[in-house]
Amino acid sequence: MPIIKDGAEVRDDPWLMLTDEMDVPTEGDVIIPLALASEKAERLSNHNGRIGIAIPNDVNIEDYAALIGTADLIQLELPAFTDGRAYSQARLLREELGFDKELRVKGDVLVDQAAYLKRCGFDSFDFDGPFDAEIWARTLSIISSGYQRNYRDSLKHRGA
Amino acid sequence: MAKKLKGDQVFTGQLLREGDVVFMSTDGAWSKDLQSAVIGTSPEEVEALEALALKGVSENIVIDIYPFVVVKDEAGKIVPDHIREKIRIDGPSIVYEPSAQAAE
Amino acid sequence: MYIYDDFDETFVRERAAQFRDQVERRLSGALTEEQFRPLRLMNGVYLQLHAYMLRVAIPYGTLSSGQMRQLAMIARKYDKGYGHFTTRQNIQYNWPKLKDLPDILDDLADVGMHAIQTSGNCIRNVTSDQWAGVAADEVTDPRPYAELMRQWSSLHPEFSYLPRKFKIAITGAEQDRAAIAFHDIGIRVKRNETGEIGFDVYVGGGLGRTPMVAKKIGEFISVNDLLPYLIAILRAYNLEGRRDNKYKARIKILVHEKGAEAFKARVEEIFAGLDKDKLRAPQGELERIAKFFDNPAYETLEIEPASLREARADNKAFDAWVRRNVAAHKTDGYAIANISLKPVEGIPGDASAEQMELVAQMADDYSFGEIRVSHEQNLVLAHVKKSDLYTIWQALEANGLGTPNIGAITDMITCPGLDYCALATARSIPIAQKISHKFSSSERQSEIGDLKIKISGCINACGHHHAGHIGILGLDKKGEEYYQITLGGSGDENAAVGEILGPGFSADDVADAIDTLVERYIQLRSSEGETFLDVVKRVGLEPFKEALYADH
Repeated sequence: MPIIKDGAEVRDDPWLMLTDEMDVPTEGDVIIPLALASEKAERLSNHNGRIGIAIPNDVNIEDYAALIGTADLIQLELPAFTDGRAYSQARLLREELGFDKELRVKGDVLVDQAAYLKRCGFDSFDFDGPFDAEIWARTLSIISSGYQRNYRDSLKHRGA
Repeated sequence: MAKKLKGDQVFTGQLLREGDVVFMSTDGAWSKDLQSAVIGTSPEEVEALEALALKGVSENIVIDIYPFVVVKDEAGKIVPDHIREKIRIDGPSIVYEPSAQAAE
Repeated sequence: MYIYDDFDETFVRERAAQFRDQVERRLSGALTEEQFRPLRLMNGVYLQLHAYMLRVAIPYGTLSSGQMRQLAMIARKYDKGYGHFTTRQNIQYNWPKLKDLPDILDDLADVGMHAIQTSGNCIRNVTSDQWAGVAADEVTDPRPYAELMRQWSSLHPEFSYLPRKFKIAITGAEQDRAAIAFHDIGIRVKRNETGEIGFDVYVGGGLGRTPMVAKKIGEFISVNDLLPYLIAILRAYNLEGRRDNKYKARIKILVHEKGAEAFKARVEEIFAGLDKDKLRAPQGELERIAKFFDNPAYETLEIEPASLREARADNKAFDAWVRRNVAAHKTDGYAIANISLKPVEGIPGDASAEQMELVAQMADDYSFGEIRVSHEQNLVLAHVKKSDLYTIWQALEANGLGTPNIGAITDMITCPGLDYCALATARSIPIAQKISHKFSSSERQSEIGDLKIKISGCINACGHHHAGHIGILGLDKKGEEYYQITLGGSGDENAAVGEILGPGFSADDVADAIDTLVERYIQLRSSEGETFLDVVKRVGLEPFKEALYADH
């Protein structure tokens, strides 16, 4: 289960994914599923550490603008690599809600999709391996230009 | 994967590199000649053939494998029993190559 | 026509390099077939009944003579010497090998062509009127907007994993020759009283197993808002379109289930929230593109040259071709010459490498080096002098390209069907050939007049049978091919879905059934000017049912 950020595997990812049965720890960085966010809200208010929120891909992002505004990380889902809803959710988060912290995608990420995901605003990738840093780097850089301007865009554009 | 088919069966697929239609012969080898295909005559045999065919898939030799029903004609030749497979084996039923059209 | 600058060329070459890398990873086993399939599809590579198939984009159906020659070269070098022009203005090669495909994409990049998004669940090749820029009934040339959309949709990071494929068509003419009502998004270019350009936007049209005519949701959207408005539609679809059932995943189902009004409201809500300035085309970009579509250097010519009148009077076959295949051009002394790819008993839409080269030569000699492909699977020389028509016709005629049947009963749209397609349930081409044989007399065809037959070899409707005045759908009944006939469909500005007449026919009986329907039409029509479709609309299906099934 590698987590990739800036083209390299993150060895000690600080984020702990909370489940239904787990208590909110007193400290450390936690990712809490959206469905549990209100239930555990009280515990979270006393929590010493950063808080991330995991949002399913059938949720209307704009309905949670206030909550998202307080989050230190948002995690979106790619249940199958063919299910592209998270791409639009990411753009809504970045471009309309102004979310500028870490945006993570978890699920069925293929290396060939990473460039598109990055352009939609994702900065970390959580998927079942294998991870090959060389292929990852090559695949992300093979196309150097784009016709669309995107969040934190590093591609070349016409006339630029 | 395979839906239940009634009758003797042969496994087919297409070569990954070329796309050519091939049939599985003995020991999981793949041939363009239907006549060299191994025929499964019972559910157990067909299942064993499928396992062998899937080996060809995992070794990246063939793709899109599936079984189809065959019969033997009077001359003892293996022939498919459905028009789709017949066209797949014989090629398009129309005169499509420009050189062949010119010769007509 | 549009010519790539360094930016476009780098992009397409990098895309070809990316595909080469993906093919290498597939052949080495680093990618499984399941992982590779969507990647190859987004480069137009299918696995068909006999072989791989490559679909190359011809954006909005415009290509240069040099591009056409390269298509011929590819047909010869990597395929079997021919190609097939499709209903979405693309060309398909039926026999390429996977190992050769990266080289083919490089050869395409050499002439500013590609196979990007000609398949897959993404935005497909943007199509348009084959007479764009020259039609007498046009508000303005829609191709600058089509090219803008081509660029905008290429490797779109947000819209490359949609619920299902997504097709956009645009027309600038009164008469809809691009079938916009049967597209996911259909765009009609308008001009208001003050001369401004705007777009009426239709959404949710489509054929397939659930045919639907698109509904208008956008009224006179401004040029500046075109891309943001498209983004709003695509975003609504990407977020809310069904993903639980492949057959219910097209936007037409979402629009239908949600209701056009509610869908429109959702699009407007998303549109209102967009940071539009960041999403519009860059300043000056549309003007840059539009320059490529300026009129070529037309000469001042006499409206009707005497040489044309004389040639028509002297040569009946030429006269028949002019009447059927030549259309009015917006400029005096010029004409639109339509080249039929539907020779008697031929394969609809196929052209040999030699034919492609001949058309390229004709384009160089007589039509400013430019060629069009129509969604009805024919070719067009869009700017020919009337005084050159006879010379052009002679060359076409000598190479099997002079069939005088544009818009006539033998000018059929036909999908590849079971002769090539892995999804087909029945053959289409042999049915077209039988009908073509039955109606081969050009006198009989001209007596019948305009009649569009469209043939699909399965329920997916690639042959547009729902939109045929007569539609034919090939199905499989216990291993036998049989064909259902529909009447009254239309793909133009009065779009309609055809209705099923009754029980189907065997492959041997279809052509006779069509003959019976045509004979009935001739009896029923009030004048020669009343077309087949007019009669169906006036009298309904009953008289035709009676003619077909009375003695059964």
